[in-house]
Amino acid sequence: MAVERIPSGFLTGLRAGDVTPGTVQVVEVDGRSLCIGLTEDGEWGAIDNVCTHDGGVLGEGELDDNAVECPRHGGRFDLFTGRVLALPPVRPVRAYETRVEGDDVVVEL
Amino acid sequence: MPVEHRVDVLLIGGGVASVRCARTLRRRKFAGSILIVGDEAVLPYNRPPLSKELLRGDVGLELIAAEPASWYERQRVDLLTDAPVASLDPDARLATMGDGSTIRFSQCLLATGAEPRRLTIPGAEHALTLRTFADAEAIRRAAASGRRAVVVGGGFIGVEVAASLAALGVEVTVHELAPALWGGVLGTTLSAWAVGVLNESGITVRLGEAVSSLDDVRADLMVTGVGVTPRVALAEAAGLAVDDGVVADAGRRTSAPGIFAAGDVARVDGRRVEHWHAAREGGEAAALAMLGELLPEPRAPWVYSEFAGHLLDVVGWAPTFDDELPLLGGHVVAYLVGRRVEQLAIIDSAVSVDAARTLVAGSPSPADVERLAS
Ligand SMILES: Cc1cc2nc3c(=O)[nH]c(=O)nc-3n(C[C@H](O)[C@H](O)[C@H](O)COP(=O)(O)OP(=O)(O)OC[C@H]3O[C@@H](n4cnc5c(N)ncnc54)[C@H](O)[C@@H]3O)c2cc1C
Ligand code: FES
Repeated sequence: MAVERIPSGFLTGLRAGDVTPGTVQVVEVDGRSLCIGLTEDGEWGAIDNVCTHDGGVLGEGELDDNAVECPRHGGRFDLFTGRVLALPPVRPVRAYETRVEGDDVVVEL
Repeated sequence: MPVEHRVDVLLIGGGVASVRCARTLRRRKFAGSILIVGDEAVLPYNRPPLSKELLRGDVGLELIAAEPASWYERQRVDLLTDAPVASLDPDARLATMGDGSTIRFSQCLLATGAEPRRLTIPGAEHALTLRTFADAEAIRRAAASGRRAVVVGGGFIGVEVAASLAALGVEVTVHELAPALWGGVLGTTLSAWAVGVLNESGITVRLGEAVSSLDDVRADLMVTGVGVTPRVALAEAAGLAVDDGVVADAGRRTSAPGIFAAGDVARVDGRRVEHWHAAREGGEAAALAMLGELLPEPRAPWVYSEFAGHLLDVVGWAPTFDDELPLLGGHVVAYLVGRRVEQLAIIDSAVSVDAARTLVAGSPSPADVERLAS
């Protein structure tokens, strides 16, 4: 789906109602690969999709509370800040402001 | 007065297999009570960083915890630490603790892991082994004041410990009995590459020589990494089928109804894979089987290792092979049984490890493997 720039950020092409709480997924936005997630508590977050340890695809991992788990070696990042929560990664990933407008999931890049 | 507890699911062993079982039960909305009992004093943690990040730097337990402390409360998973299970009665579905208290359960996972094999040569009592957080701290302390280290055993642990100690500026010699690293099970091509990598880090590697005594070794620190044995005593005494590990099927069901086994202690469909992904996936499979849910397709075994700035992934299963074939400029080694590839070693993620893991399950040809690169 074509990505559209709107005044408050970028449309991700995701419809909020289609996303299962407690999951993450991969979304390409403006040439960037993001891991976008919705927590069980209904909060949206987005981080860079590529694990800083060895390139694991974070959007293919698991989300538990605010922790995104890399499928490659189980490293964990905070969905809202990108901070490392569990080794082996040591460098954080970038985090992006994410919110829902209407039914559209929007990120600020 | 001995206490009697009652739980729906009892997970014996505070390792990754138990924690992943609990995590999966909760993710599948299991509402019953879950109790993890482990004999270590700390929260369950991931062991892979012990020989890597933890030896090289000052890393706290919270960064390697299998789940954060708050998770147990949030997920209503009870945890008893410092609590060895002394015996298990599969018919009565009853576990007895070291202090005499008992736990009745509906279903139980045996995930007691493995313990380092000890050498019996003279002087071996002065050598350290590495299995626990406390072991890693002991090695790091010794390395801080030591200048020379000897590592006996050039397997996964030995190679990683050697590389981490060298990164701390310690002069390291690794002794491996077999003519190639990893006891020779990964062939000579990969071993030759790794020896080169270790040599570049200043590590001396001696292959094909038995160490007969550690008494006269001039070193400030000796570490042995000569393999592990599964902790099957509890299962054996309980009368479960044991054959180099607790015998289990794909659903991690043992010979006793209601008792499951996963991780390093389990021999699943004839294979004992003593690695992190196997323990994680084993705990998850046991949870699904406990719930009577469909199991995922079994995937090829996957081992990873990290040393001297390199990542190594081994996918597939070829305990013995007829030939080893370097592919893709030597970044991938294919292990052939007949003309089919049954195992792949991948250096520095030269190809997608996940794709390779899927491919190798179908016994591909070397040409199929080369196509992974495109
Ligand atoms: C230093 C090190 C580095 C490693 N690196 C890698 C790696 O890079 N890649 C990889 O794939 N794998 C690696 N591994 C292997 C991986 O960590 C193991 O496969 C994994 O820990 C197995 O998990 P488990 O839950 O089966 O057992 P364990 O982690 O061993 O946990 C079992 C727990 O049960 C406890 N227990 C035993 N008996 C009882 C009892 N009767 N009552 C109560 N508790 C009991 C034990 O004390 C232990 O705490 C490494 C292992 C070590 C030690
Ligand atoms: S690549 Fe993500 S944890 Fe290793």
